[in-house]
Amino acid sequence: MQRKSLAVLVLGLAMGLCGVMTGGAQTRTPAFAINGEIAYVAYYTTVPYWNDGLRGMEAAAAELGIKFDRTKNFYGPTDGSGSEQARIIDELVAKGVKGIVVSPADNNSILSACENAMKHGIPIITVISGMSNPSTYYGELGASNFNVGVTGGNYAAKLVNGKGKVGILTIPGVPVHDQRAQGYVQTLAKYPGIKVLPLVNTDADPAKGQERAAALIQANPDLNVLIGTDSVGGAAAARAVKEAGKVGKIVVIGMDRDKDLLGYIKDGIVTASVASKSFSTKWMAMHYMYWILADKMQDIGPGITDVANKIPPIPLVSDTGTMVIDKSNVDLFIKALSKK
Amino acid sequence: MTGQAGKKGILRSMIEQTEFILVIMIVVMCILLSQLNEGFFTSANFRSMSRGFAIEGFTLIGMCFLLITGTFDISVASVMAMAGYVFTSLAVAGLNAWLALPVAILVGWAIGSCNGFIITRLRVNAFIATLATMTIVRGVVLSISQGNPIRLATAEFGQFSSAAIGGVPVMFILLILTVAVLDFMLRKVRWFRQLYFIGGNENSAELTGINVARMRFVLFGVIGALAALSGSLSSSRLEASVPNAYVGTEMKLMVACVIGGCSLNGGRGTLLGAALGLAFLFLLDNGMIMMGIDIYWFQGILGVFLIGVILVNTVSAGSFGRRGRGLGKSRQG
Repeated sequence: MQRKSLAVLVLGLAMGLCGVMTGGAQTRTPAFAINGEIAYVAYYTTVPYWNDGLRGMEAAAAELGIKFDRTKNFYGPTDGSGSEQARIIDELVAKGVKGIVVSPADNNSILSACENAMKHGIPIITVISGMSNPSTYYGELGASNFNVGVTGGNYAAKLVNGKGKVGILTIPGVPVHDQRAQGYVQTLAKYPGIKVLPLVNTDADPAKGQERAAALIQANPDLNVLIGTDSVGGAAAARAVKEAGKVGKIVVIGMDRDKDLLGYIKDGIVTASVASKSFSTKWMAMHYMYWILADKMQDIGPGITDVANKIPPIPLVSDTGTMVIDKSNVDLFIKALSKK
Repeated sequence: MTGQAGKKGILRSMIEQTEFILVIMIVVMCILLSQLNEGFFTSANFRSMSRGFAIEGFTLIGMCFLLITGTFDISVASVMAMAGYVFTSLAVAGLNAWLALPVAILVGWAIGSCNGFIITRLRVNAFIATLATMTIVRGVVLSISQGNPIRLATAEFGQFSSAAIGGVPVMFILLILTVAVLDFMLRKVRWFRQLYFIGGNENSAELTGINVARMRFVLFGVIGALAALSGSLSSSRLEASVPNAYVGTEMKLMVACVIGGCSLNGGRGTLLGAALGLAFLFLLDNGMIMMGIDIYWFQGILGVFLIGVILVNTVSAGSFGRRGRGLGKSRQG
């Protein structure tokens, strides 16, 4: 009897284990298959900034059984042209993609293209920033760009004890950068001892950015903080500060985590970088897209799904947060780069 | 009376020179900027500007020569990025930077020669051919690098841009000497003077026995090599190869040449004028920062200044010189 009970127990445990294993395998095999392309449309596509996000999209896609390859499904102009993005979205709609994740180059240029896509049943999700008309997309994910400026601004102000002159290198006309710059400007305005200089355009070009940052340093000998609202601006500021022989005299705050920017943090030329969580933002975007296409959420009642009944299936705004990289943790980020 | 007429003739001749007008404008701008911001007239500011000027100046030489012969190359920015990548990668791999530099220049020359071959032998329009090369080369460098910069912050690598004599960057001195010699040759040496004949009337030039295709082929190779030198020097200054950099440099160089007296139709311009045109653009950019111009007005005001300088050139040539010739008088070989 005891032997029989033991056998039943072992059998039960084995079945349970099989169940767990099978169950585990099932979570990796999505219940809903997406047979088609999920496209990602960005801008300034040659900037390495996108690499972490693309890694996130590829990882999420693999988990969800979606085919996503950065060499095939990543689109966008090499400059900041919103009209070019609109053309690409129109082409993707004509091509019959299943869904489009887009980082809008500006607030308005792609509104009608996105509206058209949604009318054709192709969901639009924005990452990094939203647009002026939220009805043209399901939701936006990304760090609050304004808060990036708030975090970086307070960090910089603390380092200079609330006193000094601040230069900001940015790319005007791109909402992400405009919002970050405004975050910095409005935050630093709260410190009466700090004067913020007129913003400087890098044109997203490292050589031009360095040239202009150097001019800003020469024009303002008492400049003690230089901020870049992206990695290009941060690295340009670092190079200009080094060339002017002002390392240690000017606090440099960058953005994101490109290889050269991390190198400048390691060398102590850039004090810190406020980095968006690019991987998790795009990883989540891919999951959101999957949920929308699967349309399994039933907020009205059993059997009545959200998307089919025009109930917002995802939050309109998902703040994915930021992280500050400085000398204390930069090695971790540099080590991670070698694994990519 | 004769003396007065002679003086008037000299004055008129000077005003008709695009280079003279540009020198005046540059001097006026320097005086104004030094009054507006004390930081402008500092050695550090001029050192910084001269580095940027020298880097782009080498490619400007090639662009000026091509424009004089009535053609151009819009792939130079991509060649700069490619050469910067080759130069930095080889240096990172352990090759002596002095050996890596000629390899990068050779790559640039090869790309330029490909352009030359396609344009002169296959008879493809220069705009289409160099546009294709621009896209291909940029695509290749982005694919190989995956868009990631390669950083190399060593003294050996940085010396190409940081070396200075008496505070003046060596690359700037080299550029000035090169421009001076080549400008003289453009005015006096037969081979270089033939460039004007080609640009002025290609068919006539061929009838006089000038091998137009061969000369253009050589020039495309030269501009490729010069763009590679610029890209390598820029990488040394940036302490990195940045694959997405220099976009739009080709336009800036062409604008500098036109400001300096070159015509997009060929047959006109001098290297000195082109160099002054580039200097003017650098001063303008620097001056906008010095003056603290609002970022959203920056491009617009830049455009207004450019139109202004073209108008001044046109008026000076139109009032005192040959009407209907567009820009001010420039030597034409």
